[in-house]
Parts: sequence; C-alpha cells; structure tokens
Amino acid sequence: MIGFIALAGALEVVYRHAGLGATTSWAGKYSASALAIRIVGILVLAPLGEELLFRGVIFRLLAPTSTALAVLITGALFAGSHIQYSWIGMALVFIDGLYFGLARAWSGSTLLTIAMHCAGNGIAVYQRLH
Amino acid sequence: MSTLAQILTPLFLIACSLIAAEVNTRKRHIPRKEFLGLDPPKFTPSS
Repeated sequence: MIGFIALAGALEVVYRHAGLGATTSWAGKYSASALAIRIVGILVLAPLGEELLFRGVIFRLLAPTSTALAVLITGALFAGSHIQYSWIGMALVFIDGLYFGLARAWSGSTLLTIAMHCAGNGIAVYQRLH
Repeated sequence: MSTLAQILTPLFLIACSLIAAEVNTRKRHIPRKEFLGLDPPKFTPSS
C-alpha cells in the first residue's frame, strides 16, 4: 500500500517533468451534484468495478495457467480500458495495473488492490480539486 | 452524460463480475468470495 502511494507519486513527478501532466481543474467546471457524483464514481465505484473485474474475475480465471501471464494480461486490459487517456497516460496505467496484479498475486486478495486503487484515485481527485 | 457514465460504467463492471462469480459458484462450486478474491490479504513475513 505504502509502496503503491510512493509509486503513484513517482509516476506523477515523471509525468509532470515530461511536460505531460496538465491536469485540468474541476473548480467551477461542474455543479455541486455533478461533482459529488464524479467523486463517488471515481473514488469508490470505479476502483470497485475495475478491481472486481480485472484482479477478481479475469485474474482468477488466468492465474491457474500462469500467474505472470495473469498479471500481464490484466495489466494490459486495465490500461486498454483507459483509452480516453494519451498513450503515455495509458503506459502509466499499465504500470499501475502491473503493480496491482503483483499485489493481488502476493496477497491473494482483491481487497488490497481495491484499497490501493482508491488511494491512487484519491490523489487524482485531490489534484483536480486544488 | 460523462458524469452519468462515471457511475453507470463501474456499476456495469460490478454487475458483470457478480454474474461471473455466480456462474462459477453454480458450475464449479467455487465460493463467490473466494472467486472474487474478497478474502483478507495474506502476508507472509519476510525474514
């Protein structure tokens, strides 16, 4: 968990130093209700849905064949599901996906990856609110 | 529309996952919680 927060911070620094980190602020862009819906969706529902599907169902189906393959494929599918990002953004999501996959393999739990994903998205939401 | 999608897309993913877990429970008798990996994390202490 601490490792993931450190990784997320490091990737953010790389992203910004590469001149790619122009995160658009949400201040004044959305109404209060739309903002609340977005925050719930991004902080709670997205990590829950994505982790249950990728590190839950798909990982479970692939892991008996090969754990490494399960980590790689779920990471790739996870990155592919973020097609709205730039290629560098998707590459960073792929790295996050590999980290989540390894955490899933080592701990045997999707609950851990859900918590990590919530923390990562929490950082992203915080940046857009400030 | 994009705000609504922020809610509907993950709800759809959750529903798909729960259906997949239910199918596996019925066909392969794997408990839903175990199939989805919802057991608490197991950490083996490093020496």
